[in-house]
Amino acid sequence: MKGIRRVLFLASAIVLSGSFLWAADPDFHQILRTIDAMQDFGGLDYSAVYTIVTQKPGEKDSTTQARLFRRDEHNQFVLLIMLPEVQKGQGYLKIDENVWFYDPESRKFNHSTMKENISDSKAKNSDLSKRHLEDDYEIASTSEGTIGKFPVWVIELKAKTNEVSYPKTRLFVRKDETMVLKQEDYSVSDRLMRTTLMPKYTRVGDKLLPSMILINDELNKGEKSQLTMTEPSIARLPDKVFSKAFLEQVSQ
Amino acid sequence: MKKTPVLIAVVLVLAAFAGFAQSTGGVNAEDALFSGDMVDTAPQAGSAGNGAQAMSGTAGKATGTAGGSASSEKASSTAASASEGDLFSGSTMVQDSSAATATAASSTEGFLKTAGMRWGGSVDSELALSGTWNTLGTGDFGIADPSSKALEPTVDATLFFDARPDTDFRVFGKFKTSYPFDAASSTSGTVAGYSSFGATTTTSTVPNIKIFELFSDFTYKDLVNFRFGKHTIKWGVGYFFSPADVLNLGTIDPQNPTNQLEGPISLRTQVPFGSTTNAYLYLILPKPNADGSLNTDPAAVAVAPKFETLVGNTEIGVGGFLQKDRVPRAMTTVTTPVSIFDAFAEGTVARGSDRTYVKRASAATSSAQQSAWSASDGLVTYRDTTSPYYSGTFGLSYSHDFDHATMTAYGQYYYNGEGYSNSRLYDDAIRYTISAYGYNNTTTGKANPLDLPTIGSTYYWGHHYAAGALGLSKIWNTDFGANLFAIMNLSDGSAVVNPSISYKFFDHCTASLGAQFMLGPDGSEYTANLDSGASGPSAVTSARTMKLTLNLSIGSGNF
Repeated sequence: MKGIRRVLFLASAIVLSGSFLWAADPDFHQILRTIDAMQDFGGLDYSAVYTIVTQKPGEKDSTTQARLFRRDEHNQFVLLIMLPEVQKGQGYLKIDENVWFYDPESRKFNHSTMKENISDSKAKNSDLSKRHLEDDYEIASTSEGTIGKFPVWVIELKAKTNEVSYPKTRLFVRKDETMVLKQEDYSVSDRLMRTTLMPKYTRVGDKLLPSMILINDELNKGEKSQLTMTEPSIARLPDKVFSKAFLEQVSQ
Repeated sequence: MKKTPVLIAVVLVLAAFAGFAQSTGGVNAEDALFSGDMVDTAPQAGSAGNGAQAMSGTAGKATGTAGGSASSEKASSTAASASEGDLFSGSTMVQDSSAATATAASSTEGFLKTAGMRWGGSVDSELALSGTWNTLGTGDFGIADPSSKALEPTVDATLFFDARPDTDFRVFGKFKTSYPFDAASSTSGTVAGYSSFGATTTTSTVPNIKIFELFSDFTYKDLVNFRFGKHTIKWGVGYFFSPADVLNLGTIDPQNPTNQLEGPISLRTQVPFGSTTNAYLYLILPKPNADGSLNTDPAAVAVAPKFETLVGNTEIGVGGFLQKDRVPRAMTTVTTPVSIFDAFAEGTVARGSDRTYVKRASAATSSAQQSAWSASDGLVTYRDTTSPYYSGTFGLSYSHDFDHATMTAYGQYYYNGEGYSNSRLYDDAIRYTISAYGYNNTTTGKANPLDLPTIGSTYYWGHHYAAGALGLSKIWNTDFGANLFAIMNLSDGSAVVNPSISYKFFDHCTASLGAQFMLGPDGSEYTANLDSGASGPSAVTSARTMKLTLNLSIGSGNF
């Protein structure tokens, strides 16, 4: 009799613990914080070259190359266009929430928004800046899925602010190691605007950055961009880089 | 000849249809983008390689050389393509970048120092077929009977060079030309020793080339930045109107607000304090005298200090302007985000005005006298250099990618403190200007009385103005675009309204169909219409006009 009770007890324990484990979701806010943190260089400067090849049906492929400078500690960001040659020297400066675009044609600084696309590509400035998922979004729902051979958490986010590029976003995050493999961006009306895949990452210092980003424009079918990150560096940059004066100096 | 517009329209419609069919029928772009012939090697950073060869990436494999050139990164060209399963089938998604600090040292130098001189520019070439109706709103109006027709070519070109022999020294020059590429120049004088023969006049043609900018940049220990030469001055923040900007040689054309303004010869000294605060001092040389000789009076050099800083999300600028024979001014500028908009504002105060005002020669003060007064009574000009004049402007801009279009919008209000409180004398002021300075005045070389030296008298005549522009592109995800521009003198109720639609057939070939309506009551600013005379317009009438223009931009672009 004792044996039967023991078996029943063990069985019950196993079932209960299994169901508990089954029900135990991770802390999704912690996942967002981890995603934010793994691309936040803190007191280090970060620079890299991003090459963006964009294809549109019926048009020649276009290439934009830009060098990115970031000082995350002070929330500073500079993006300088290197290619195409006709846009060389155009650039963006972001300091906190303030963004300036220097237009060499009019020799004026204009307030712009980080929502703007880089050149005529499908990539936005915000794709290259430090992320603030935890601050900018709230979690609307979560589920599970698979991307390729990787089990993922699917986290639906709703924007808390209109400062972000898209009001709704769905992240596909690897379960075994926190990494965003895919991102879907939606309009207010829940229309899928953009799908982004991040199949390659590079570890820079102790940070993890996507080194290849593939962006599909879901509105304009067939229009897509591929971003490739090279020359990552965490060497100290001159202070003058993060200034309007520098943007003006390097422009045409 | 009458068949030409019809023929052009038919060709454009057919071409548009062909372009649309191609864009909707086309290739499966996903297959094309990531199919095998797409790429192999990413370009060396900073090189000017062919864009189409820049793609890289091997799905699921980390083959790049982190920290170094991307040129070694071979692509299997299957990247991204096909399916997520292919992309995320590998186990080595992450590569380490051990050489992450190797290349940063030269990352900024590449922008500041170049081995050779860089040349570039742009070409703007257009054909505009237009018809103008001066009878809008009258019984004489007939759509098939325009008052005038014209086919006008535009071929403008800009050429610049940019030399950066060292990180702290740069020389830049920009030249402009436009069709017709030469201009007549007349000189007259006596031959030495033969004055008894009287003066001789020689007419020759000279190339129509203008040095638009020519300056050098240099720095002192990265603490102070200098720019000397002829260059555009950044001063105001207004989009359509910038009352604070009295430093540049021209003013903003509201219909082309992003055009670069021509600047004077000046020395700019800039001292940055951190990332968001700058102090400027401009020393601006005076314009040449009316006869073309240089004004070498040291006292005529203008002094214009400016200070700008960021407070929260608001950038604030304050400045001043002092120059002999011109009224002193102080100004302030503000730019800041407001909700989903970017806002800008500027205000000025001046002790007096640089404008030359007109008033009646007779001292008619009562309304009865004013009604009885006519232009034949004459006008006299006067200046006011002591009264305070306040002007200000504010505006908003907005841009957004909607599901079916990209929208850009600007709106701006302008209080012109130096304007007239009414438009009663507007037409007469133009007549006076024509009479006093001559429409075809060879001394000033001006072709339009609105550009004459006393332009302050006839330009921005009223106190209150508003302008707006709305642009839509990629409408329904096609190459169609639509624009609407309007400017209104709120004081007299006159306005210019320009709606247009455009279609890009392919790169460097765009057609647009636009209209321009000049509306308002008689005697108002935007209904003034110059009458044609044998030697140029000599009178002005009021008319509401409509101008339709079919514009073909062919071969325009940057290089």
